[in-house]
Amino acid sequence: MKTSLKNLGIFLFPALALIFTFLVIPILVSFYMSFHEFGVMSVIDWRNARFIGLDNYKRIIFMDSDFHQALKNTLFVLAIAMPVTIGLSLFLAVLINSKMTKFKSFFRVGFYIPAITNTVAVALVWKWILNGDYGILNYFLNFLGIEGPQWLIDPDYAIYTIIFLVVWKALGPNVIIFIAGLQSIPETVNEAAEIDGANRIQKFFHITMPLLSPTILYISLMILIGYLQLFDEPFMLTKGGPLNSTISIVMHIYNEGFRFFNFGYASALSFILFFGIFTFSLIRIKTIKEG
Amino acid sequence: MKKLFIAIFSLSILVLSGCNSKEEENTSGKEKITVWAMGEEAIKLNIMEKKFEEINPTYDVEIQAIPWDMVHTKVLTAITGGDTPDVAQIGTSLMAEYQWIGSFENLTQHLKTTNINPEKFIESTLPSNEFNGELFGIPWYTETRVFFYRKDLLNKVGYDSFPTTWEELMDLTAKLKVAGIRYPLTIPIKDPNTPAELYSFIWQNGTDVIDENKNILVTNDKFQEAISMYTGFFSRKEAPLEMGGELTQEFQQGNLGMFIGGPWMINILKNTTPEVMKNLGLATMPKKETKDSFVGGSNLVIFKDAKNKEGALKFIEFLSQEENQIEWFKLTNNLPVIKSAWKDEAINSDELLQVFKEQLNYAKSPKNIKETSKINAALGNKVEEIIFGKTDVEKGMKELEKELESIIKK
Repeated sequence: MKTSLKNLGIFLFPALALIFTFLVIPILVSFYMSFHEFGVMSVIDWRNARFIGLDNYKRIIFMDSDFHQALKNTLFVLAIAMPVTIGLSLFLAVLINSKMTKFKSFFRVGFYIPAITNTVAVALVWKWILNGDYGILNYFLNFLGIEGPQWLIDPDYAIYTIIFLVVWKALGPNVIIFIAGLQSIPETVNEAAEIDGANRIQKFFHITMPLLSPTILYISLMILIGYLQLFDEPFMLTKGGPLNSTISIVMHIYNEGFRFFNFGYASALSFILFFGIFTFSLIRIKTIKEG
Repeated sequence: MKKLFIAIFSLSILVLSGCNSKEEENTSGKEKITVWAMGEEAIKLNIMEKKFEEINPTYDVEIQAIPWDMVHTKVLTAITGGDTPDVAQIGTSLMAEYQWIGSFENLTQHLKTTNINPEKFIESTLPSNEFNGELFGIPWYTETRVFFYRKDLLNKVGYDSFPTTWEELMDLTAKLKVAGIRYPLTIPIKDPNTPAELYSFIWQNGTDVIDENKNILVTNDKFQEAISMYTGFFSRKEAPLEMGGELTQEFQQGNLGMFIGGPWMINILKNTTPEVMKNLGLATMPKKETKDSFVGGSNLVIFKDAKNKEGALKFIEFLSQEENQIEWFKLTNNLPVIKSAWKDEAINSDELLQVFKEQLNYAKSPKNIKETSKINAALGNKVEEIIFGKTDVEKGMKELEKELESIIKK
């Protein structure tokens, strides 16, 4: 049957209209704003927006020390949390998927629970656990003869606390995805390898890993995008402090946009973040293809 | 996706501004006054509203409750969208930001048609409403910060009454520390919104962040002395970076010697830790050059785009009358802004409140300029750096001066 352009238009219109209203137009407006000094006054009347060319971008890259700190923190979290998350969730997935493991669904649910709990409520509980004086964590460390630091207040430790929470929260969904990936590997391949005399470690590196690479690519991309937009954990637990040691790029955008109402500047920051994520993702895809 | 969020936010503002809400049909023939109030106050305001409608049967007051943490976005969206109520309760510290956008009606002329007389108000409650000598809001209720302390702990180290000077205060905290009190006092490292405690110490030394002509004063000796005073409590470990438990709990257990709080703390202590009340003492700020404290509270404003300015004015007039101020105090424990209301039995007989009354004579608010929130953020960050030992007072203040120059210039 021939599809007429008119019919096609009728069916596509609702989706296109939604995408345009809530995606394309806002992005274009935000792009426009990023070249202007765009404050609250400008929202009331756009004529108040002053065109300043690349000044917002220049200020971000060369002068904004908070941004530099946020960039450093975000990359630090990414550099540590990403390999740990992938490694740990793969390890757990292999364990849960093993034939010897009992109560599989119990473990699956257990690891998934952090992902479905509300960050706000969980953050409150973690605040108590991590409290320097009365927290249960330091209480247990005391038994081992270790005097725990003030996890959320000490500028040297706060970022590691954030990394821990980020990993803890991301583990569940990734374990589930890895299990799905592991289960899609055909049993016959493993059996063939066994007949050829391969041991467990050889089987893991020469059969499981290569067959799992699409899953690993997917997970590492999702983690990359997710971690570069780190926000909830530092916002709830430390508000970016102490000494900006846990401020993330998105938190900086939030502060500029919604605390100081520099919408133009915040838009410019968002575009820098966007290009950052874009480049990182490209590099990640490229390395997988070549590797 | 935060950039999307921002963009959608601004787009929704645009869309909202396009559709001006239609005046609702008034079936009862009454004139409607829309009022925005915050949190708990909105609920209690319904009682006042009924009384108002009894006296003025031609008006129909509609109160909308806004949660405190939504105030900023809600009001801003309303202003940009031109969909403001007639009257709103605005916290004193947020006045400058909205006034700068030009959202409030100038009330100076309007007042002549009412019996609201600015001279009847406690002086310290007026400045947050004043811009270039004109009034843009009417104080509704007020609060100021005083010291809450444990009488028994002070007695233990030989103090019969609370210190009245900085030197005594430092001596007291040192003694409490020696006596093994875990936290002699607590003050915030950094308050992201209004550093009330920090400002109090700065004002007490007779200085400020900027003067009337927006000259930056942070490098002068007095300012540095005030910062040293504040950060010194942390470096001597007399004030904790983080307290173990809740403030009320630590206070009740005698781990915390004193803290700076507003009038609402009385009720919180009464309700959560009633045992502590017999040992609770309140005192005005200790004196250096002055004994200034921070004044907060809420004002009532009329928006420029209000549909019923006359009714709005009537409602504000009603709320600022002496008897209604007293009734409001009885309902909410919010302190009245009308001087004569303080003579009422219910307020006058409360010993603890007298401390607030005294402190209100020495209370200030930060300068009413649009840069205030940025100045507070920069100041807070520097003080935090000093507290964590990343820089010293002299160097930190030089850096702060540079930062403030770039903030205030724009």
